[in-house]
Amino acid sequence: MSQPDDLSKLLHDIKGKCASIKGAAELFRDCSVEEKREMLALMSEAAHNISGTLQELGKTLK
Amino acid sequence: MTKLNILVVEDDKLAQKVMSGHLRSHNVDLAGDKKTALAKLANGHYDICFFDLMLGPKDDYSGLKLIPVAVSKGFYCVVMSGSDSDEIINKAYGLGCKDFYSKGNEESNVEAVIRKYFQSRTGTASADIFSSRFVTSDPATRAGVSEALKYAPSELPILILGPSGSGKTSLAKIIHDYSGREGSFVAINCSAYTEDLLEAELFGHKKGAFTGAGETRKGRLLEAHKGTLFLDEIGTMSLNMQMKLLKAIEERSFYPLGSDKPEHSEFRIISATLENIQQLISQGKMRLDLFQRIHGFTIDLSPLGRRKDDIFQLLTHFTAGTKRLAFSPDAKAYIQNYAWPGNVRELKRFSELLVSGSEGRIDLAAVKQHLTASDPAAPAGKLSGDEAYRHALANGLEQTLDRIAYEIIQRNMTENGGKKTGTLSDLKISTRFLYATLKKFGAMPGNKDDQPQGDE
Repeated sequence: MSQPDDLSKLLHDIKGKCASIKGAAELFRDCSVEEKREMLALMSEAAHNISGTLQELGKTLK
Repeated sequence: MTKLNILVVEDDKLAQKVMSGHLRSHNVDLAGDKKTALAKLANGHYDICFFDLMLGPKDDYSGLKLIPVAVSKGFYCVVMSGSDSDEIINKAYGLGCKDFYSKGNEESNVEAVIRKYFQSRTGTASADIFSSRFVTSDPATRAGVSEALKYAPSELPILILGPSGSGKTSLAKIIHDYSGREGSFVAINCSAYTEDLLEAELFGHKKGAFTGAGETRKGRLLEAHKGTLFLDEIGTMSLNMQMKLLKAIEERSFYPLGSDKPEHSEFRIISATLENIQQLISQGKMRLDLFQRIHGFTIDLSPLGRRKDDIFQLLTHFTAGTKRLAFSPDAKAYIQNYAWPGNVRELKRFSELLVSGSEGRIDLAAVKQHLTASDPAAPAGKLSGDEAYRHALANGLEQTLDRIAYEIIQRNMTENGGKKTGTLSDLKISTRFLYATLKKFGAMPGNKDDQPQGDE
């Protein structure tokens, strides 16, 4: 896989995770307490992954 | 709404959770990688498959490879994406995907995808409907129902016209089932309530809102949230109620009786009437603005008497799995020529009577015993309870009572083999009244005991 493809995939991953967090935020209000806990954990994990991917993206600039 | 089997192929756990939330009213199966997805596609049966194309951060669009597998099994495929290039999306369409769901886009919603699926299904499903849920071989009726089903997944209001018993409620329910709407089908017969009660039924009420309102009750409008509100006999609704309903339709909100807090409801309207709605408008009995709100697509169901080919087809349908009915030739001819004033409802009752009460081949006498109209060739038009009420409103009570008296006399005379002496005795009426009624309706007899003195 060439370098631009890797960059595209990283960007794709970031956009996908952002979309998931956005979708989860829209559904959040209608969830039960148990679901809200699960949702928050997954949203935090996704946010953490985004942070990791952003760092990885930063490395591609070097 | 019909519960669908849906497969979501998505590697991201949070995205899986979001899709499961959007599709909570259906059976959802999840696959997070290509191998699991292939196994599920091989063994499962799905109505819709949603495909994420990149299954993992470093994945090489393996979701694309799953699409032909699902398409080959006849599943409706939808590509899900938040950021894929047009080239990749076009590739997915080229492989057989039918629709696109934009992840993270607030304007894109799963419900719209589901509706499109139902829309695509109505074409093939309508043929099944005509042999199961709405039995007819009449070309005009089939064409009208097929056309109505095309609009099932839309928001368009549908108006169903047709005489009592012709299948208006059944058709409304079928349209709802093919709409893909997640809410319920809520039906109300407007003619069954007085104005005050209809208002309470439609809008609901708070405890103590009126005498007898012992507890707070949700109205039909709220029950139909995200579903279908079927207003049967809408032509009987008072102008005052029409105005209140129109406001609720336009604003999508309303106040339950005794409440100062508005309720919100997104319902789709299907309405029905047996009356001539244009006439109601010209007579000032139907508000034009309400009519414009309820008649997006109009279907007119013919009376059964004009769909002769359907009679025996329906009889077979109603008796399936019970008893195979056989008729003598004259009984068969009588059934075929009978006017069926009560339409399909009357035929259904007739079939139930025959299944339970007949033995062997059914002869003419047995058939006549169960059919109420006096003259098999007489046009449909017997007055049922609701129809009598509306007839009285339109023509005056006196005229309606005259007509009911005539129908009772006709029926009794038939049961007495045309002998008026029997009718005079059975109904305890005077000779003068009998002849006056028959004369009024142009039915002075020319048979049996034609001369009054002959049987008195």
